[in-house]
Amino acid sequence: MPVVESEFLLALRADDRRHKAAIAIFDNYPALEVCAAAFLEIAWLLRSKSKTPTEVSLTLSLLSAELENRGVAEIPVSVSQFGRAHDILTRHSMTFFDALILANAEESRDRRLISNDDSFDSVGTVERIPLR
Amino acid sequence: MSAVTRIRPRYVVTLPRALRKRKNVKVGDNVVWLPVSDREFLAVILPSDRYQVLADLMRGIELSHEARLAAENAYFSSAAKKARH
Repeated sequence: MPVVESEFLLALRADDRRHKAAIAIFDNYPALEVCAAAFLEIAWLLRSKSKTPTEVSLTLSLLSAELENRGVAEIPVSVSQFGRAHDILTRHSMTFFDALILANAEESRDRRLISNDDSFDSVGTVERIPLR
Repeated sequence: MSAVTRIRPRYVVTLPRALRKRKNVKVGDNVVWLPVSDREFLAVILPSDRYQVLADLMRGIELSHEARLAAENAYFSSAAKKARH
């Protein structure tokens, strides 16, 4: 089952330009997984925009509830993934959160990641499905 | 204003009438339960259109390379601050 990441979570916003594409993903892929690492990135994107801890908590709770209602399974973050993320960073140019998301997605069943971020391609461990 | 409601089978709870009137709560609205302690939750009532609520909560958030780096810097500077203490 394909994996969704931060881009997909942001696209759940009603006014996001990829909102319809995100909803279509729910319809086209009855079984999906989500990188828990994407929630970490969303949390820190919000924190970097001075959102309050309550606003961050609310946002993550709503996103989590939406995915749970849609039957999307979560791939938890593990210690070994943190190690793997830093291993990726030594060889490839990407942000820490991207590397952690990739390490997270590498543990999915079929290693297909729904994302428009082509920095994942250089590692070559997942097949990327564009979010369009 | 305070009220006590009983948890019914399947953990169903009715919002007290006084609260419903006072806060203009509507059927279909979302209640987000945020844990505060073992026996306390903060219940936040949000409009029924959850995608619009997400748009409001995540307004201005983008996934540009610069925005991702800013988030990463905020994360690591917070961790570094804790490590210094």
